[in-house]
Amino acid sequence: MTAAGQADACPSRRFASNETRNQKPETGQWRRVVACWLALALSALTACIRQEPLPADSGMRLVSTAPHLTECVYAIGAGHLLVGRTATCDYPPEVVSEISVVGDFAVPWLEPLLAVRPTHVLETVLSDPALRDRLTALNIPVVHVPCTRLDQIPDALRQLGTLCDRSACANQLADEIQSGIERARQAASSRQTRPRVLLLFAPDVSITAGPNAFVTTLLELAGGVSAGHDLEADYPRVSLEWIITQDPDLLLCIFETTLPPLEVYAGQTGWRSLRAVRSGRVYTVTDLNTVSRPGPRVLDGIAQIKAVLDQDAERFAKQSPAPDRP
Amino acid sequence: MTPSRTTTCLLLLAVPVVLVLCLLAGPAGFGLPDTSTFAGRALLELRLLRVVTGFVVGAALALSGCALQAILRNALAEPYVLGVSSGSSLGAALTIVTGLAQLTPLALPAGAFVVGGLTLLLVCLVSGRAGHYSPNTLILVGVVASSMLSSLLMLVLALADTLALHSITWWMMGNLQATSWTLVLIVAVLVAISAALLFSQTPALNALLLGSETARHLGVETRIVLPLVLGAAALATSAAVSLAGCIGFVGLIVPHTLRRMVGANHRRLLPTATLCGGAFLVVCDTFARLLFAPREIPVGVITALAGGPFFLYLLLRNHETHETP
Repeated sequence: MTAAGQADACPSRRFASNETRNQKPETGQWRRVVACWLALALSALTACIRQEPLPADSGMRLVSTAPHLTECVYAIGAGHLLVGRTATCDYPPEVVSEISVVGDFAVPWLEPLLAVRPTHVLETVLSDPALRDRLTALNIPVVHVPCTRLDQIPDALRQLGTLCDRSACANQLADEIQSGIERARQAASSRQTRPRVLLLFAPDVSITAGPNAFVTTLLELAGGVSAGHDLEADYPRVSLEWIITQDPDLLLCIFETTLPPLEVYAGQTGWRSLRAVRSGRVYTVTDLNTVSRPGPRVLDGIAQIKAVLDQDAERFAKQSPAPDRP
Repeated sequence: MTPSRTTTCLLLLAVPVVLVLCLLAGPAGFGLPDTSTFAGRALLELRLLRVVTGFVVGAALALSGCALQAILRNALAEPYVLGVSSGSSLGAALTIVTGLAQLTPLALPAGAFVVGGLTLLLVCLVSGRAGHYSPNTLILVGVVASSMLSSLLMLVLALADTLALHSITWWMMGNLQATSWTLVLIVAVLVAISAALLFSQTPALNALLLGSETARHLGVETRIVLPLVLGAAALATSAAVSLAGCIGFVGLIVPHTLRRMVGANHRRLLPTATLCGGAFLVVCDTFARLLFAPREIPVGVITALAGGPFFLYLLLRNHETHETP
C-alpha cells in the first residue's frame, strides 16, 4: 500500500501541473496507475507465498539435469525429493509432469533452477562445465553421478541411494540390474546365430554406433553383433558406400519415424540395394528411451532388442538368402 | 591461341578426367566396382549419383556466384549474399520440425526451394523499389533479410526436439548423398534453365562490370537484365541448396580463381566457372569421403580448406605481378 500510496502521490503532482496546461483532469488514468501498482504488489506477494513452503521430509530438494538420473531417483523411491527436472524427462509419466522444468538435458537454466531452491543438483554431464562453479558459489552443491555406460548404472543407483538415504532400495535395484545383465550376457553367448546389426540414429543421415556406444553394449547383450565394431567414435557419420560393403543382416532404427522403418529406406538409392532392406529386415524398438538412456530400465532395453532379434530369427531362420536382384 | 584460351581449353579437358577419377575412388577401394555382383552395381550407382549430385550442385553455385559478382560488382558477392541460404535453411528446418520431411523425400527440398525463392523475391522487390537494383541496396537488403531469417531459424532450432535439431544441423552442414535420381534430375533441369538464361546474358554481364549507368549507355536494358540475372542466379542457388544443403566457398572462390586464370570475359568465364565449379565440388566431396573413411566429414570443410589457400595464393601472385615494373 505504501508503494501504491507513493505512486499515488508522486505522479499526481506531475499530472496536476499537466492539468493546468492541458485543461482537463484525467482521473480515469489515475485509477489505472493505482490499479497497476496494486496488481504488481499483489502478484509479488503471491509469488513469495508460493515460494515459501515446504522442504521435503529430509529437507533435501533435488534437481536432475538428465532424464536417466530422474528415472534413477524415482526408481530408488526418492521421487518426492525432486523439485526440478529437464524438459526431456518423461518417465515415470504419471508423476514426472508435476515437477517444474528447470532446463534441457545437461543445460540447466539458471533462474528457473534457483527459483525451485534446490539443495543438490544432480548431473552426469553439463554442457557448460563452468555452471558447476557458478552453482557451488551460490551454495548449491553439484553432485556428479557418472552414468553414461552400462557398467556405471548400478554404482550410480547406489550413489544416489546413499545421497537420498534410500540405500536399501537402491542396493537391491542395483543388484537386480547387475544379475540381469549377467543373465543376458550368458544367454547371448549361448545364442546359436548372432546377426550383424547396423544401428541407425537418424533417417536422413547415416549415423551409426561405435563399439563403445551405450546402445551397442545393449545390442551385444541381446545377442546381436554390431556392424560398426571397427569404428572409433561412439556415434560417427559413415558413408553409405561403407554400409553397402558391410552389408549387415538387419537394420535397427533408433529414431522416431511416422513411416514404417522399412519404408524410410526402401525408396532411397543405395539403401534399397542392401540385403537387409531387400529382405525387409528393418526394425525399430517400441520404446526408444529404454535403449538410449543408461538408467534403471536398461533390462527392458535389452529385452526389447532381444525381442526384435528373436522375431527376425523366427521370420528368416528357414528362408534362403535375399535374391541377387530386388 | 591466346594464353587464356589455352588455359580454358586445358581446364575444360581436365573436367571429364577429374570426374572419372572421382567416380573410381571411394571408401570401398579405388577402381571400378565389380559390376557382375549386385553389391558392385549398387556401389557404382551410388558413386555415379554422388558424382552427378556434386557436379550439379557445384556448377550451380559457381554459376550463380559468377553472375552475382558481375552485377553486384563486389568481390565478396557469392550465391548466399542475397539471403537465399538462410531462407532455404529456414524452409528445410520448418519441414523437419513439422514432420513434413518424413512424409515424402521431396518435402524437404521443396520446402527449402520455396522459402529460398520467396526470400529472393522479397529482396528483389524491396531493392527494386528502394534503389533500382543498385548493388549497395541489393547487398544491404540481402544482409538484412539474411539476418532476420537466421534469427527465425535460431528460434526454430531452440524449440526443436533433439532428433529435429540433429537433422537440421546435419542438413545445414551440407550433404551430397541424394536420396533419388528423380530429385537430382529435377535440380539439374532447373540449373540448366538458369545456366541457359545466364549464358544468353553474357554481353550484358560484361557491360555491367563497368557499372549499370555505363551499361545503360551501352544499350543494356538494366531494368530487365538485372532482375533476370538475379532470378536466374537465385533459381540455381535455391535448387542447389535444396538438394545438398548449404555448402560454402564454391560460389565465392571458383569464379574469382577462374577470372584470374581465363580472364573476365563472361562469354568464356561463365561456362568455364560452371564446369570447373562442378568438378571442384566433386573432388572436394571425394576427399570428404576418403580422408577419414569410413567416416564422412562435411564437404564444406574441404571446400574451404582446399579453396581458401589456393585463392590466397592467386591473390598474392596477382598482387606481385602488378607490383613488378
